[in-house]
Amino acid sequence: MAEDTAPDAPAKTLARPAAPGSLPEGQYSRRDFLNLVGWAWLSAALGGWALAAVRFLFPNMLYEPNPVFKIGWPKDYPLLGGLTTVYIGLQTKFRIWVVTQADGIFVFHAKCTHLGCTPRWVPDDRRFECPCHGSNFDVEGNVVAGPAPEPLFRCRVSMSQDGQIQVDKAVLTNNPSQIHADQFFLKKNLWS
Amino acid sequence: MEKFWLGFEKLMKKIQSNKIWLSIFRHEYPQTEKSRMAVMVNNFFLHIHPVKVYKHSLEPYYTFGLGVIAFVLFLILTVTGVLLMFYYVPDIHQAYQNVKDLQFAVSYGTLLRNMHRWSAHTMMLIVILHMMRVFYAGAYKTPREFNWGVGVILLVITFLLSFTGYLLPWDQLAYWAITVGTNMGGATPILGNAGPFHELPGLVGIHIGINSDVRFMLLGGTIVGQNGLLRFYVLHCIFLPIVALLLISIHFWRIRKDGGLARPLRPGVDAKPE
Repeated sequence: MAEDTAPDAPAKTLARPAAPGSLPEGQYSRRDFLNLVGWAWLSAALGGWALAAVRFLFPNMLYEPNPVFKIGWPKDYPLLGGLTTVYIGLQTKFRIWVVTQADGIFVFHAKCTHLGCTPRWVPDDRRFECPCHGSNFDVEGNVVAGPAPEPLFRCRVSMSQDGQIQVDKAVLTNNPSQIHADQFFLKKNLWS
Repeated sequence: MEKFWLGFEKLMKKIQSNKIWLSIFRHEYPQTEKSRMAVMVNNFFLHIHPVKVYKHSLEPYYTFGLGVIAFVLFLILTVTGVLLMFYYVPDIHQAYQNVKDLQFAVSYGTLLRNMHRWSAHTMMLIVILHMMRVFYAGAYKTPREFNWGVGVILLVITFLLSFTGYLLPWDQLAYWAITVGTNMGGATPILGNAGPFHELPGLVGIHIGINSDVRFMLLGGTIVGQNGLLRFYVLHCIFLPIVALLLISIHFWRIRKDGGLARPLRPGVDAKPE
Protein backbone atom coordinates (compact mmCIF):
# COMPACT_ATOMS: atom_id res chain seq x y z
CA MET A 1 0.00 0.00 0.00
CA ALA A 2 2.93 2.25 -0.58
CA GLU A 3 1.16 4.10 -3.38
CA ASP A 4 -1.81 4.80 -1.11
CA THR A 5 -0.57 8.18 0.01
CA ALA A 6 -2.36 11.21 1.34
CA PRO A 7 -4.41 13.11 -1.25
CA ASP A 8 -2.27 16.22 -1.15
CA ALA A 9 -0.16 16.03 -4.31
CA PRO A 10 -2.54 16.17 -7.29
CA ALA A 11 -1.76 13.44 -9.79
CA LYS A 12 -0.27 14.84 -12.96
CA THR A 13 -2.60 12.79 -15.15
CA LEU A 14 -5.57 14.83 -13.92
CA ALA A 15 -4.33 17.92 -15.74
CA ARG A 16 -6.08 18.68 -19.00
CA PRO A 17 -3.86 17.47 -21.83
CA ALA A 18 -4.79 20.33 -24.12
CA ALA A 19 -6.26 23.65 -23.09
CA PRO A 20 -9.48 24.63 -24.87
CA GLY A 21 -8.73 26.08 -28.27
CA SER A 22 -5.14 24.87 -28.33
CA LEU A 23 -5.94 22.14 -30.82
CA PRO A 24 -5.92 22.95 -34.55
CA GLU A 25 -9.18 24.30 -35.98
CA GLY A 26 -11.83 21.60 -36.40
CA GLN A 27 -10.10 19.06 -34.15
CA TYR A 28 -11.40 17.64 -30.93
CA SER A 29 -9.50 16.07 -28.10
CA ARG A 30 -10.48 12.66 -26.76
CA ARG A 31 -11.72 14.38 -23.60
CA ASP A 32 -13.98 16.70 -25.62
CA PHE A 33 -15.39 13.73 -27.51
CA LEU A 34 -16.11 11.67 -24.40
CA ASN A 35 -17.59 14.74 -22.74
CA LEU A 36 -19.98 15.22 -25.64
CA VAL A 37 -20.89 11.53 -25.74
CA GLY A 38 -21.57 11.60 -22.01
CA TRP A 39 -23.90 14.58 -22.15
CA ALA A 40 -25.65 13.22 -25.24
CA TRP A 41 -26.23 9.87 -23.54
CA LEU A 42 -27.53 11.53 -20.39
CA SER A 43 -29.87 13.87 -22.30
CA ALA A 44 -31.18 11.01 -24.43
CA ALA A 45 -31.84 8.80 -21.40
CA LEU A 46 -33.49 11.49 -19.29
CA GLY A 47 -35.33 12.94 -22.29
CA GLY A 48 -36.70 9.53 -23.23
CA TRP A 49 -37.78 9.03 -19.65
CA ALA A 50 -39.51 12.39 -19.53
CA LEU A 51 -41.38 11.70 -22.77
CA ALA A 52 -42.49 8.27 -21.54
CA ALA A 53 -43.62 9.81 -18.25
CA VAL A 54 -45.69 12.43 -20.07
CA ARG A 55 -47.31 9.75 -22.24
CA PHE A 56 -47.98 7.71 -19.09
CA LEU A 57 -50.06 10.58 -17.75
CA PHE A 58 -52.53 10.34 -20.63
CA PRO A 59 -54.81 7.40 -19.73
CA ASN A 60 -55.97 5.03 -22.45
CA MET A 61 -59.10 4.08 -20.54
CA LEU A 62 -61.55 6.26 -18.65
CA TYR A 63 -64.02 5.39 -15.93
CA GLU A 64 -66.20 8.39 -16.66
CA PRO A 65 -69.92 8.23 -17.43
CA ASN A 66 -70.70 7.48 -21.08
CA PRO A 67 -71.50 10.78 -22.83
CA VAL A 68 -74.07 8.90 -24.97
CA PHE A 69 -77.22 7.85 -23.12
CA LYS A 70 -80.98 7.39 -23.56
CA ILE A 71 -83.45 9.58 -21.73
CA GLY A 72 -86.83 7.89 -22.44
CA TRP A 73 -89.54 8.37 -25.03
CA PRO A 74 -90.82 11.61 -26.57
CA LYS A 75 -94.17 11.00 -24.86
CA ASP A 76 -92.39 11.53 -21.55
CA TYR A 77 -91.74 15.15 -22.55
CA PRO A 78 -95.13 16.57 -23.61
CA LEU A 79 -95.77 20.19 -24.52
CA LEU A 80 -97.69 21.63 -21.57
CA GLY A 81 -100.17 24.49 -22.04
CA GLY A 82 -98.97 25.10 -25.58
CA LEU A 83 -95.91 26.83 -24.12
CA THR A 84 -92.28 25.78 -24.58
CA THR A 85 -91.76 23.33 -21.70
CA VAL A 86 -88.48 22.83 -19.81
CA TYR A 87 -87.79 19.48 -18.07
CA ILE A 88 -85.06 19.72 -15.41
CA GLY A 89 -85.51 16.21 -13.96
CA LEU A 90 -82.26 14.91 -15.50
CA GLN A 91 -80.12 17.84 -14.37
CA THR A 92 -78.55 15.99 -11.42
CA LYS A 93 -77.99 12.70 -13.25
CA PHE A 94 -76.88 13.87 -16.71
CA ARG A 95 -76.53 17.66 -16.37
CA ILE A 96 -79.00 18.32 -19.17
CA TRP A 97 -82.34 20.05 -19.63
CA VAL A 98 -84.89 18.69 -22.10
CA VAL A 99 -86.87 21.41 -23.89
CA THR A 100 -90.11 20.63 -25.72
CA GLN A 101 -91.37 23.10 -28.30
CA ALA A 102 -94.45 22.97 -30.52
CA ASP A 103 -92.48 21.45 -33.39
CA GLY A 104 -90.04 19.19 -31.56
CA ILE A 105 -87.57 18.51 -28.77
CA PHE A 106 -84.00 19.60 -28.10
CA VAL A 107 -81.56 19.14 -25.20
CA PHE A 108 -79.41 21.75 -23.44
CA HIS A 109 -76.09 21.00 -21.77
CA ALA A 110 -76.75 22.54 -18.31
CA LYS A 111 -73.50 24.51 -18.18
CA CYS A 112 -73.14 28.28 -18.11
CA THR A 113 -70.99 29.54 -21.00
CA HIS A 114 -69.27 32.02 -18.68
CA LEU A 115 -67.24 29.84 -16.29
CA GLY A 116 -69.08 26.52 -16.25
CA CYS A 117 -71.44 26.64 -13.26
CA THR A 118 -74.86 25.00 -13.51
CA PRO A 119 -77.65 27.57 -13.93
CA ARG A 120 -81.09 26.82 -12.46
CA TRP A 121 -84.43 27.00 -14.26
CA VAL A 122 -86.63 29.71 -12.73
CA PRO A 123 -90.19 29.08 -13.98
CA ASP A 124 -91.49 32.50 -12.90
CA ASP A 125 -88.91 34.35 -14.99
CA ARG A 126 -88.82 31.62 -17.67
CA ARG A 127 -85.07 31.92 -17.56
CA PHE A 128 -82.02 29.80 -16.72
CA GLU A 129 -80.23 31.82 -14.05
CA CYS A 130 -76.62 31.16 -13.09
CA PRO A 131 -75.92 31.51 -9.34
CA CYS A 132 -72.20 32.23 -9.78
CA HIS A 133 -72.08 35.51 -11.70
CA GLY A 134 -75.69 36.22 -12.61
CA SER A 135 -75.80 35.19 -16.26
CA ASN A 136 -79.37 34.64 -17.49
CA PHE A 137 -80.50 32.66 -20.53
CA ASP A 138 -83.95 32.46 -22.10
CA VAL A 139 -85.64 29.17 -23.12
CA GLU A 140 -83.81 29.33 -26.44
CA GLY A 141 -80.50 29.56 -24.57
CA ASN A 142 -79.78 33.14 -25.61
CA VAL A 143 -77.97 35.40 -23.13
CA VAL A 144 -80.36 37.96 -21.68
CA ALA A 145 -78.25 39.14 -18.73
CA GLY A 146 -74.84 38.81 -17.14
CA PRO A 147 -71.31 38.13 -18.33
CA ALA A 148 -71.92 34.94 -20.38
CA PRO A 149 -70.33 35.51 -23.80
CA GLU A 150 -72.40 33.09 -25.88
CA PRO A 151 -75.68 31.12 -25.87
CA LEU A 152 -76.12 27.80 -24.06
CA PHE A 153 -74.83 24.72 -25.86
CA ARG A 154 -77.18 22.01 -27.13
CA CYS A 155 -76.40 18.28 -27.22
CA ARG A 156 -76.62 16.05 -30.26
CA VAL A 157 -79.91 14.11 -30.19
CA SER A 158 -81.22 11.18 -32.20
CA MET A 159 -84.00 8.60 -32.12
CA SER A 160 -82.63 5.21 -31.08
CA GLN A 161 -83.92 1.89 -32.46
CA ASP A 162 -86.30 1.37 -29.53
CA GLY A 163 -87.90 4.78 -30.03
CA GLN A 164 -86.12 6.45 -27.10
CA ILE A 165 -84.35 9.78 -27.35
CA GLN A 166 -80.59 9.33 -27.39
CA VAL A 167 -78.35 12.19 -26.22
CA ASP A 168 -74.68 12.62 -27.04
CA LYS A 169 -73.06 15.13 -24.70
CA ALA A 170 -69.75 14.85 -26.53
CA VAL A 171 -71.14 16.71 -29.57
CA LEU A 172 -72.37 20.21 -28.77
CA THR A 173 -73.34 23.34 -30.68
CA ASN A 174 -74.71 26.80 -30.09
CA ASN A 175 -74.24 27.93 -33.67
CA PRO A 176 -77.55 29.49 -34.82
CA SER A 177 -77.15 27.84 -38.23
CA GLN A 178 -76.89 24.38 -36.63
CA ILE A 179 -79.27 24.37 -33.69
CA HIS A 180 -82.27 23.57 -35.90
CA ALA A 181 -80.49 20.85 -37.88
CA ASP A 182 -81.73 17.25 -37.46
CA GLN A 183 -78.62 16.46 -35.44
CA PHE A 184 -79.56 18.85 -32.64
CA PHE A 185 -83.34 19.11 -32.95
CA LEU A 186 -85.80 16.18 -33.01
CA LYS A 187 -88.69 17.18 -35.23
CA LYS A 188 -92.14 16.13 -34.07
CA ASN A 189 -92.88 14.12 -37.23
CA LEU A 190 -90.28 11.54 -36.13
CA TRP A 191 -92.68 10.01 -33.61
CA SER A 192 -96.16 11.28 -34.45
CA MET B 1 -22.90 24.37 -41.45
CA GLU B 2 -19.90 26.16 -40.09
CA LYS B 3 -21.95 29.33 -39.92
CA PHE B 4 -24.54 27.49 -37.87
CA TRP B 5 -22.00 26.29 -35.32
CA LEU B 6 -20.48 29.75 -35.08
CA GLY B 7 -23.94 31.18 -34.42
CA PHE B 8 -24.64 28.41 -31.92
CA GLU B 9 -21.43 29.15 -30.05
CA LYS B 10 -22.28 32.85 -30.01
CA LEU B 11 -25.76 32.13 -28.67
CA MET B 12 -24.41 29.85 -25.95
CA LYS B 13 -21.91 32.52 -24.94
CA LYS B 14 -24.74 35.04 -24.70
CA ILE B 15 -26.85 32.70 -22.59
CA GLN B 16 -23.94 31.80 -20.35
CA SER B 17 -23.10 35.40 -19.62
CA ASN B 18 -26.73 36.06 -18.68
CA LYS B 19 -27.39 37.08 -15.08
CA ILE B 20 -29.89 34.26 -14.48
CA TRP B 21 -27.53 31.62 -15.88
CA LEU B 22 -24.70 32.94 -13.74
CA SER B 23 -26.88 32.84 -10.65
CA ILE B 24 -27.54 29.12 -11.23
CA PHE B 25 -24.09 28.06 -12.46
CA ARG B 26 -21.67 30.13 -10.44
CA HIS B 27 -18.60 29.02 -12.35
CA GLU B 28 -17.46 28.22 -15.86
CA TYR B 29 -17.77 24.75 -17.35
CA PRO B 30 -15.34 22.60 -15.31
CA GLN B 31 -12.43 22.30 -17.72
CA THR B 32 -9.52 23.05 -15.47
CA GLU B 33 -8.57 21.46 -12.18
CA LYS B 34 -9.41 24.64 -10.32
CA SER B 35 -12.90 24.99 -11.79
CA ARG B 36 -13.60 21.28 -11.24
CA MET B 37 -12.76 21.78 -7.60
CA ALA B 38 -15.05 24.83 -7.46
CA VAL B 39 -17.91 22.77 -8.90
CA MET B 40 -17.52 20.06 -6.28
CA VAL B 41 -17.52 22.59 -3.49
CA ASN B 42 -20.27 24.89 -4.73
CA ASN B 43 -22.79 22.44 -6.15
CA PHE B 44 -25.32 20.99 -3.71
CA PHE B 45 -25.46 17.62 -5.46
CA LEU B 46 -21.77 17.28 -6.29
CA HIS B 47 -20.54 18.35 -2.86
CA ILE B 48 -21.60 14.90 -1.59
CA HIS B 49 -18.37 13.61 -3.07
CA PRO B 50 -15.10 15.05 -1.75
CA VAL B 51 -12.85 17.01 -4.09
CA LYS B 52 -10.05 14.57 -3.36
CA VAL B 53 -10.19 11.03 -2.10
CA TYR B 54 -7.65 8.43 -1.15
CA LYS B 55 -6.57 6.27 -4.03
CA HIS B 56 -7.66 3.27 -2.02
CA SER B 57 -11.27 4.53 -2.04
CA LEU B 58 -11.41 4.43 -5.83
CA GLU B 59 -10.48 0.76 -5.93
CA PRO B 60 -13.63 -0.74 -7.52
CA TYR B 61 -13.27 -4.12 -5.83
CA TYR B 62 -13.09 -2.51 -2.42
CA THR B 63 -16.70 -1.17 -2.20
CA PHE B 64 -18.15 -2.56 -5.44
CA GLY B 65 -20.14 0.73 -5.41
CA LEU B 66 -22.86 -1.06 -3.46
CA GLY B 67 -23.92 1.96 -1.43
CA VAL B 68 -24.25 4.15 -4.51
CA ILE B 69 -26.13 1.39 -6.34
CA ALA B 70 -28.56 1.11 -3.41
CA PHE B 71 -29.08 4.89 -3.45
CA VAL B 72 -29.67 4.97 -7.22
CA LEU B 73 -32.21 2.17 -6.80
CA PHE B 74 -33.87 4.24 -4.07
CA LEU B 75 -34.11 7.15 -6.53
CA ILE B 76 -35.54 4.91 -9.27
CA LEU B 77 -38.07 3.52 -6.78
CA THR B 78 -39.07 7.04 -5.77
CA VAL B 79 -39.57 8.26 -9.33
CA THR B 80 -41.43 5.15 -10.56
CA GLY B 81 -43.40 4.99 -7.31
CA VAL B 82 -44.62 8.57 -7.60
CA LEU B 83 -45.73 7.89 -11.18
CA LEU B 84 -47.53 4.68 -10.15
CA MET B 85 -49.41 6.65 -7.49
CA PHE B 86 -51.22 8.55 -10.26
CA TYR B 87 -53.17 5.40 -11.20
CA TYR B 88 -53.39 3.58 -7.88
CA VAL B 89 -56.16 4.10 -5.32
CA PRO B 90 -55.69 2.32 -1.97
CA ASP B 91 -59.28 1.11 -1.91
CA ILE B 92 -60.05 -2.59 -1.50
CA HIS B 93 -62.59 -2.43 -4.33
CA GLN B 94 -60.28 -0.62 -6.76
CA ALA B 95 -56.67 -1.49 -5.90
CA TYR B 96 -56.41 -4.81 -7.74
CA GLN B 97 -58.16 -3.40 -10.82
CA ASN B 98 -55.88 -0.34 -10.79
CA VAL B 99 -52.83 -2.59 -10.82
CA LYS B 100 -54.29 -4.63 -13.70
CA ASP B 101 -54.93 -1.38 -15.60
CA LEU B 102 -51.36 -0.29 -14.98
CA GLN B 103 -50.15 -3.62 -16.26
CA PHE B 104 -52.32 -3.85 -19.36
CA ALA B 105 -54.05 -0.56 -20.25
CA VAL B 106 -51.82 2.37 -19.30
CA SER B 107 -48.98 3.38 -21.64
CA TYR B 108 -45.60 2.46 -20.09
CA GLY B 109 -47.49 1.12 -17.05
CA THR B 110 -45.97 -2.35 -17.44
CA LEU B 111 -42.48 -0.86 -17.69
CA LEU B 112 -42.95 1.36 -14.64
CA ARG B 113 -44.49 -1.34 -12.47
CA ASN B 114 -41.84 -3.88 -13.41
CA MET B 115 -39.08 -1.33 -12.80
CA HIS B 116 -40.55 -0.62 -9.37
CA ARG B 117 -40.82 -4.31 -8.58
CA TRP B 118 -37.40 -5.38 -9.80
CA SER B 119 -35.66 -2.34 -8.34
CA ALA B 120 -37.24 -3.21 -4.99
CA HIS B 121 -35.99 -6.79 -5.15
CA THR B 122 -32.57 -5.64 -6.30
CA MET B 123 -32.35 -2.98 -3.60
CA MET B 124 -33.03 -5.60 -0.95
CA LEU B 125 -30.19 -7.73 -2.32
CA ILE B 126 -27.77 -4.82 -2.77
CA VAL B 127 -28.42 -3.44 0.70
CA ILE B 128 -27.63 -6.84 2.24
CA LEU B 129 -24.47 -7.16 0.11
CA HIS B 130 -23.51 -3.61 1.15
CA MET B 131 -23.81 -4.61 4.79
CA MET B 132 -21.73 -7.75 4.20
CA ARG B 133 -19.01 -5.75 2.45
CA VAL B 134 -18.84 -3.24 5.32
CA PHE B 135 -18.65 -6.15 7.75
CA TYR B 136 -15.92 -8.05 5.92
CA ALA B 137 -13.91 -4.84 5.38
CA GLY B 138 -14.14 -4.09 9.08
CA ALA B 139 -15.53 -0.69 8.11
CA TYR B 140 -17.94 -0.72 11.06
CA LYS B 141 -15.10 -0.20 13.54
CA THR B 142 -14.18 3.04 15.30
CA PRO B 143 -14.98 5.77 14.37
CA ARG B 144 -17.71 4.37 12.13
CA GLU B 145 -19.91 2.56 14.67
CA PHE B 146 -22.59 5.24 14.54
CA ASN B 147 -22.88 4.96 10.75
CA TRP B 148 -23.12 1.18 11.07
CA GLY B 149 -26.04 1.76 13.42
CA VAL B 150 -27.72 4.12 10.95
CA GLY B 151 -27.15 1.49 8.26
CA VAL B 152 -28.85 -1.19 10.36
CA ILE B 153 -31.90 1.05 10.77
CA LEU B 154 -31.85 1.73 7.01
CA LEU B 155 -31.77 -2.03 6.40
CA VAL B 156 -34.86 -2.47 8.58
CA ILE B 157 -36.58 0.42 6.77
CA THR B 158 -35.79 -1.22 3.43
CA PHE B 159 -37.40 -4.43 4.76
CA LEU B 160 -40.44 -2.47 5.93
CA LEU B 161 -40.74 -0.66 2.58
CA SER B 162 -40.74 -4.05 0.85
CA PHE B 163 -43.25 -5.47 3.30
CA THR B 164 -45.69 -2.55 3.08
CA GLY B 165 -45.41 -2.45 -0.71
CA TYR B 166 -46.19 -6.15 -0.82
CA LEU B 167 -49.82 -5.61 0.25
CA LEU B 168 -50.68 -2.86 -2.23
CA PRO B 169 -51.56 -5.00 -5.32
CA TRP B 170 -54.29 -6.51 -3.13
CA ASP B 171 -54.13 -9.92 -4.81
CA GLN B 172 -54.18 -13.33 -3.10
CA LEU B 173 -50.39 -13.36 -2.66
CA ALA B 174 -50.43 -9.90 -1.07
CA TYR B 175 -53.41 -10.61 1.16
CA TRP B 176 -52.11 -13.87 2.62
CA ALA B 177 -48.50 -12.69 2.84
CA ILE B 178 -49.60 -9.75 4.97
CA THR B 179 -51.98 -11.96 6.94
CA VAL B 180 -49.05 -14.23 7.80
CA GLY B 181 -46.67 -11.32 8.37
CA THR B 182 -48.97 -9.41 10.68
CA ASN B 183 -49.86 -12.61 12.58
CA MET B 184 -46.15 -12.85 13.32
CA GLY B 185 -46.50 -9.34 14.70
CA GLY B 186 -49.28 -10.71 16.88
CA ALA B 187 -46.69 -13.05 18.41
CA THR B 188 -44.53 -10.15 19.65
CA PRO B 189 -43.54 -10.70 23.27
CA ILE B 190 -45.63 -8.69 25.72
CA LEU B 191 -47.24 -6.47 23.02
CA GLY B 192 -48.81 -9.12 20.73
CA ASN B 193 -52.01 -10.96 21.61
CA ALA B 194 -50.40 -14.36 20.90
CA GLY B 195 -46.92 -13.49 22.16
CA PRO B 196 -45.23 -14.73 25.30
CA PHE B 197 -45.84 -12.70 28.45
CA HIS B 198 -48.79 -10.91 26.86
CA GLU B 199 -50.60 -11.36 30.19
CA LEU B 200 -48.02 -9.12 31.91
CA PRO B 201 -49.54 -5.73 30.96
CA GLY B 202 -52.78 -7.09 32.44
CA LEU B 203 -51.15 -6.74 35.85
CA VAL B 204 -51.26 -2.96 35.43
CA GLY B 205 -54.71 -3.10 33.89
CA ILE B 206 -53.75 -3.06 30.21
CA HIS B 207 -55.46 -5.84 28.33
CA ILE B 208 -53.55 -7.17 25.29
CA GLY B 209 -56.09 -8.89 23.03
CA ILE B 210 -56.87 -9.36 19.37
CA ASN B 211 -58.35 -5.85 19.26
CA SER B 212 -55.81 -4.07 21.45
CA ASP B 213 -52.32 -5.28 20.54
CA VAL B 214 -49.57 -4.06 18.20
CA ARG B 215 -51.00 -6.04 15.27
CA PHE B 216 -54.29 -4.23 15.78
CA MET B 217 -52.47 -0.90 15.71
CA LEU B 218 -50.62 -1.81 12.50
CA LEU B 219 -53.71 -3.05 10.66
CA GLY B 220 -56.27 -0.69 12.15
CA GLY B 221 -58.46 -3.76 12.63
CA THR B 222 -58.48 -7.42 13.49
CA ILE B 223 -58.21 -8.60 9.87
CA VAL B 224 -56.31 -7.35 6.82
CA GLY B 225 -58.95 -4.95 5.47
CA GLN B 226 -59.54 -1.42 4.20
CA ASN B 227 -57.86 0.22 7.21
CA GLY B 228 -54.84 -2.04 6.84
CA LEU B 229 -54.49 -1.30 3.12
CA LEU B 230 -54.67 2.45 3.72
CA ARG B 231 -52.15 2.29 6.59
CA PHE B 232 -49.69 0.26 4.55
CA TYR B 233 -50.14 2.69 1.64
CA VAL B 234 -49.39 5.73 3.81
CA LEU B 235 -46.42 4.00 5.43
CA HIS B 236 -45.11 2.88 2.04
CA CYS B 237 -45.53 6.17 0.17
CA ILE B 238 -45.07 8.84 2.84
CA PHE B 239 -43.72 7.81 6.23
CA LEU B 240 -41.02 5.24 5.42
CA PRO B 241 -39.54 7.09 2.38
CA ILE B 242 -39.23 10.32 4.40
CA VAL B 243 -37.49 8.51 7.26
CA ALA B 244 -35.29 6.67 4.76
CA LEU B 245 -34.31 9.92 3.03
CA LEU B 246 -33.44 11.57 6.33
CA LEU B 247 -31.30 8.62 7.45
CA ILE B 248 -29.64 8.31 4.02
CA SER B 249 -28.62 11.98 4.27
CA ILE B 250 -27.13 11.40 7.72
CA HIS B 251 -25.48 8.20 6.44
CA PHE B 252 -23.75 10.08 3.61
CA TRP B 253 -22.79 13.01 5.80
CA ARG B 254 -21.25 10.73 8.40
CA ILE B 255 -19.06 9.01 5.77
CA ARG B 256 -17.36 12.38 5.21
CA LYS B 257 -17.25 13.27 8.89
CA ASP B 258 -15.79 9.87 9.80
CA GLY B 259 -12.91 10.46 7.40
CA GLY B 260 -14.12 8.93 4.15
CA LEU B 261 -14.17 5.27 3.32
CA ALA B 262 -12.38 2.92 5.69
CA ARG B 263 -8.85 2.08 4.57
CA PRO B 264 -5.84 0.24 5.93
CA LEU B 265 -3.56 2.23 8.18
CA ARG B 266 -0.31 3.36 6.63
CA PRO B 267 2.50 2.26 8.91
CA GLY B 268 4.29 5.22 10.39
CA VAL B 269 1.95 7.80 8.86
CA ASP B 270 -1.48 7.21 10.39
CA ALA B 271 -2.11 7.19 14.08
CA LYS B 272 -4.21 4.33 15.40
CA PRO B 273 -7.70 5.67 16.26
CA GLU B 274 -8.25 5.66 20.00
